[in-house]
Amino acid sequence: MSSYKVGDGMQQIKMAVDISTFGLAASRAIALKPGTGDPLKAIAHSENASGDIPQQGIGAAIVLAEYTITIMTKIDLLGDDDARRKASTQVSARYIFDDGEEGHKEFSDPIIEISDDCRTVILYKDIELKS
Amino acid sequence: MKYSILPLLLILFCINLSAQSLDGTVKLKELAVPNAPVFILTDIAPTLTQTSNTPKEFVLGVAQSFQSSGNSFPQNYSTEFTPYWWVKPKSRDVYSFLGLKTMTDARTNKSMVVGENIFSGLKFTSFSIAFLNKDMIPDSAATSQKIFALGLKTTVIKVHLRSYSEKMDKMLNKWHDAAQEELDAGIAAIAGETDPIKKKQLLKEYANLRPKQTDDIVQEINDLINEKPIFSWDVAAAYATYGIGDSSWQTGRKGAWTTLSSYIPLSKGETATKSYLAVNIAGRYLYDSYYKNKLGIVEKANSVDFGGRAGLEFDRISFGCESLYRYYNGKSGSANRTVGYINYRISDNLYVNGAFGKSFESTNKLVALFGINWGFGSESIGLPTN
Repeated sequence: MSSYKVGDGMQQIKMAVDISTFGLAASRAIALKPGTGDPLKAIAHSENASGDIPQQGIGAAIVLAEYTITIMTKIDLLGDDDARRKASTQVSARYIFDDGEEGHKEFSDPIIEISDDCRTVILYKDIELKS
Repeated sequence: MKYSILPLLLILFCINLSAQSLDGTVKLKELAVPNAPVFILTDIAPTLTQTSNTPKEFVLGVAQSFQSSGNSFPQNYSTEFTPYWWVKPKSRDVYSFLGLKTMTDARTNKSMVVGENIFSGLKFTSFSIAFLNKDMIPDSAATSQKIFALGLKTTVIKVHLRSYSEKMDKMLNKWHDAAQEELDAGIAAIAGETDPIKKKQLLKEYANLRPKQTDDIVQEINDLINEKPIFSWDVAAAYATYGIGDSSWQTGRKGAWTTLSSYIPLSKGETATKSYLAVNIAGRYLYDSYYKNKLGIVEKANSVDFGGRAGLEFDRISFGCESLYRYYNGKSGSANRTVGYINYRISDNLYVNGAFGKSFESTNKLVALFGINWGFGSESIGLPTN
């Protein structure tokens, strides 16, 4: 699993998501402490059908440490079968973290799941935050 | 009445794969901007061409045709490609793809649609290339020439009513809100799964879900994409050079096409309209250095055709009138016609056509045709796909 060192300070950790697709995209990010039964925290979501999450503070480093950030993007592709099939191969994502102990760090290797009819693409990324 | 009996109805099954040339009867449809002008100019059937979806496919195709020819000129090879699909910029989104202009509100820091980029069609400019070994000179010698042809097609301007971008923005936001609800319902279960295999299985199931809410909105957006512009200008051009002998390359054929279209919606509403007052003007220029005229003499020749059509279009039926004029080697020719037409769409690819009017080419100067047109693909605008 990908990880990002946030440290144990009080500073805000910043996150941004940049989705590249011709389709309609919506992204949502949550924080979860796996195996603890703690409720999840909704931390950010996209503002429009670009699916991008603009850079924003997602919480203090000391609070976020040991949480796993999950970012999921739903993409619905447009056009006929041929257009959708081509567009499904043109999907990518960047997950950008800043102001943690590791400074600026980018991830660009989400799990990409394409529906059988190429109508929908799901991008999924887990990032473990370490103190 | 002189014309008491109309000419017999003629049923035609037409698969429109024919090449365009300087002779024969010209139809307004043939003047429309072709997707791959090179294939029209060099008489290549679309089934023999490849679509290069990636630069790798293009380079491999050219390399293989060089290899199989065994000399410095490729064996028959033709392809079409749109460079826009070849590049993968980091920030690409549905707004730029649909030609919507956005700006960020300084107060809320939110991006919003402010109109339409009327030049957005330029980015989908497509190119067609052909390397051929073919006898394109209609003389007594049956020797093939090396032919290299290059063409392009683009939409220079495309403008919709202002309400189009507003409707599209509203629809995109509606989809986004619905998708957020769906994500909210699914993300916790997937994120909480610790077994990677089960997680992957959950993601697959989630991708294959067909939630009605977002699906219906996607359908509405697809319908809106097919809404015709109030004004559009398409152009295409192609050039073919012939290698005669081993060293001499000469211009063989040239062609240029342009279409101006205007579709005035006849209805207003939140959903896509399918009724229009349609006006189309099309022009075509063709030049052939080796044209065999009616006397059997090979000469340089050119033709300029232009025509227009005005009519009403509804979901399944359209009717109106069209007029066509031809100038051959700068002189007004006889292949002019003015007819009324009616088309009825039975299904996406099946049309019943009718035409009645004057054709200066026929003996009695009157044409009456009914036919069935079976084409590949619908006449909708749709998204560019290559």
